[in-house]
Amino acid sequence: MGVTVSQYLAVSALLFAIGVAGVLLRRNMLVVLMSVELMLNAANLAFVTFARMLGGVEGQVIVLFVMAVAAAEVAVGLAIVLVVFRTGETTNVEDVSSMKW
Amino acid sequence: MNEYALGQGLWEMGFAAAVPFTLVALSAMAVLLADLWLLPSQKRALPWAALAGVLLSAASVAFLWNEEATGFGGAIRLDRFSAFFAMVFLLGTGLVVLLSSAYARREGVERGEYYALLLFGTSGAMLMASAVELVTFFLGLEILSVSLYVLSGFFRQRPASAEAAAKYFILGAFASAFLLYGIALFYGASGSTTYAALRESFGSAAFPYSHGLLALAASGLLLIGLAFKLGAVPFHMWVPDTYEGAPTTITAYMSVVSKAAAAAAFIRVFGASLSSLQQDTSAVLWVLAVVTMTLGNVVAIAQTNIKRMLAYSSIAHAGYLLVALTAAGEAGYSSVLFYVLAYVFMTLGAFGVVSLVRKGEGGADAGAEALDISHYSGLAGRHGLLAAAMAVFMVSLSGIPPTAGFFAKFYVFSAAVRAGEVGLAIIGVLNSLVSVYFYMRIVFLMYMKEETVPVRGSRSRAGWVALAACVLGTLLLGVLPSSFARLATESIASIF
Amino acid sequence: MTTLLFVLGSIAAIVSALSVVTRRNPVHSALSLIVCLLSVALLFLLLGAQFVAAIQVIVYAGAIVVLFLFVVMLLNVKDESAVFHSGIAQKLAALALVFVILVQVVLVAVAGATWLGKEQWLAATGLSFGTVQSVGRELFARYLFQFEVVSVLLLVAIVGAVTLVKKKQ
Repeated sequence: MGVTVSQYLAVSALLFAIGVAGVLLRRNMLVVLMSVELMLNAANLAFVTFARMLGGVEGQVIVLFVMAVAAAEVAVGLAIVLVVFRTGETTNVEDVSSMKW
Repeated sequence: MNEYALGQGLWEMGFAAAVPFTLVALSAMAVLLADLWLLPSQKRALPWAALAGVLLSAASVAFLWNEEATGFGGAIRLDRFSAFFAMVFLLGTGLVVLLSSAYARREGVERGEYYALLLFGTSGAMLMASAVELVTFFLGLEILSVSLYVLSGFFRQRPASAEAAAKYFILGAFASAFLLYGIALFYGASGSTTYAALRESFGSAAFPYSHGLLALAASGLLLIGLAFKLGAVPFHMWVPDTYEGAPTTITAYMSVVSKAAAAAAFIRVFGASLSSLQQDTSAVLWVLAVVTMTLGNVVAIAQTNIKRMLAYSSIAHAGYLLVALTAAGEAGYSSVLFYVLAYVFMTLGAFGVVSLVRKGEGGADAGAEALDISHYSGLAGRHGLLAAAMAVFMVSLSGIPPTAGFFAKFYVFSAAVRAGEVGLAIIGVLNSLVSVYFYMRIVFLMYMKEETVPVRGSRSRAGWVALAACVLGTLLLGVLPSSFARLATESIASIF
Repeated sequence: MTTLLFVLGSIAAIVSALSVVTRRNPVHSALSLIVCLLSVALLFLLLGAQFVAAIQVIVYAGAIVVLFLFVVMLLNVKDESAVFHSGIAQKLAALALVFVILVQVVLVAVAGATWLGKEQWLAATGLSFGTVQSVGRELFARYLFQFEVVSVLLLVAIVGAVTLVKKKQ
């Protein structure tokens, strides 16, 4: 097979880094949440790659759990976005927070 | 991981290890259901139902105190360590439920979901402390976090509470993703997610260098996730705003339970399984500990809101915990356990007083929470008992004998000295000295100043019982620390 | 063939991920996220994870991102004035980001070159690898407890979301 473990891992690492960039640089809560999804997805790719490398399906089972976790986080996260929007009419992180640290 | 066949009985799978967790989760569901059946006038029964669940689970922990069991093919383990932390979480939850019984009604959030989510959070924390497999640990962390995201935003109409939830959620989800990537790398490097496999792969120093590099990267990612839960600098940005905006009782719960759970998971992963990487992790932890202690204590001085001050104080205390984790070894880790127990009493007590003090008649916002530090001036004249309790907690938090806080710090710093981290211990002691200023300022205001804003204390009997328990615990640990210290040492010995 | 598909899939995944992060309109971001998830599903297929790939399409792209779109539409979010906001905090964040990427690239390079000494696939996989049957067997035997725990997590999420959003009686 032509494609190697490290090439898949490289794609995963890049996706993860793009997700990190999104969380750090974007101020729209919805986009930040999507960036977190990118990071989780990168982790999933790593799990599946390792599962293939090790020849077991454990990694694939873990991916199913991660999807459930992602669903739970998204449900609560979007509910929080709605609450924030109702109290302040904004989805912008900077408008929400006084950022006083 | 042991294989086991489909169709085995629950007990053969080692269900015993999961009994305390299951009981808490089931009580949470019972509270949810009870909420549907109760009439509005009967909602007062909700905290008592939650408390019954806590006591039930605590009874099961006590019953299984001397047992050891590994459940479900190496997912969860019952030993003295799990039992100790389960008791700490249940103690914290029980006290928070008592404090909430008055607070939640007054703030109009007395709903079944409030108590159910508290119990669910506790079940997640128990999972974090008793998991011996990374996925189980991760799921426990998520249960705890998701419950807390919702609870911190429980005042849905208030912008501050919404902001608290939003900030906590975004940074929490971010940290979880790091943690998950770390788990993925560990899985790739050791072929399994159990702690036993980690120990096998990295337990001895014999593993190849490149392997070690991967383990280091994975540890780094895992460390980020845990440092966030601990509230350690530089992952503390959420702490002040979330602590300030969340309901006070939830803030108390957050600062005690999620911190203790993170420390427990840390000890299981890094202390018991990845001890060969200790040299490398210690170096990172050293820096984290110093920065966290110093920032927490210095910034706390400038605060005018008491919840914010306690938030920075909790960051500083995370720093002391990190000192103990840096010291490592049985002495270091058992001092973590003692510290966590002491921290439950003094922090819950301090937040408990805050949740009971309200603005008195006369002002426009009578009955609102009195959160400004200046509101505490002259408290001793009007509410002698409340002021005395607060004084005990402040003395304990600043680490002055004869209170729990003194021995907690004493064990931590002496463990650090024994581990050769003299410099770290000195920085810690200096930090404690700085902290005396802002803790004692509260005591000074309460006893030496005239009242500026009229405040009144709640007469909630449950709240007073909780406060009395906190005072008693704080003093007991300060007067008779040795038996509790022995308990901590035994618990640590059970995982090595 | 696999190489070609891999190259296509990974380029699509990375480009769409970049697009998620750089679009002004959250709707465009959500749509890009779907493309990204589908490309990753393709990579899953190439790795022999058929069941997971199917779930990725059905649950992740099908349900989770649709939830995003619902909320975006519900809130009627407008375009942002600027995608990236400047400021010291942002620049520090960017620095941290570069650091993370660097560490990762080094890690991957090391992993590729020396780690475990195996560049080729270690395990030759049979036909049953990654099927519903093999994944299900693992899920309900070795990961039974975790599976049950997930149900608690989902319950917490449902209760939490409803609690936060429902109108006061």
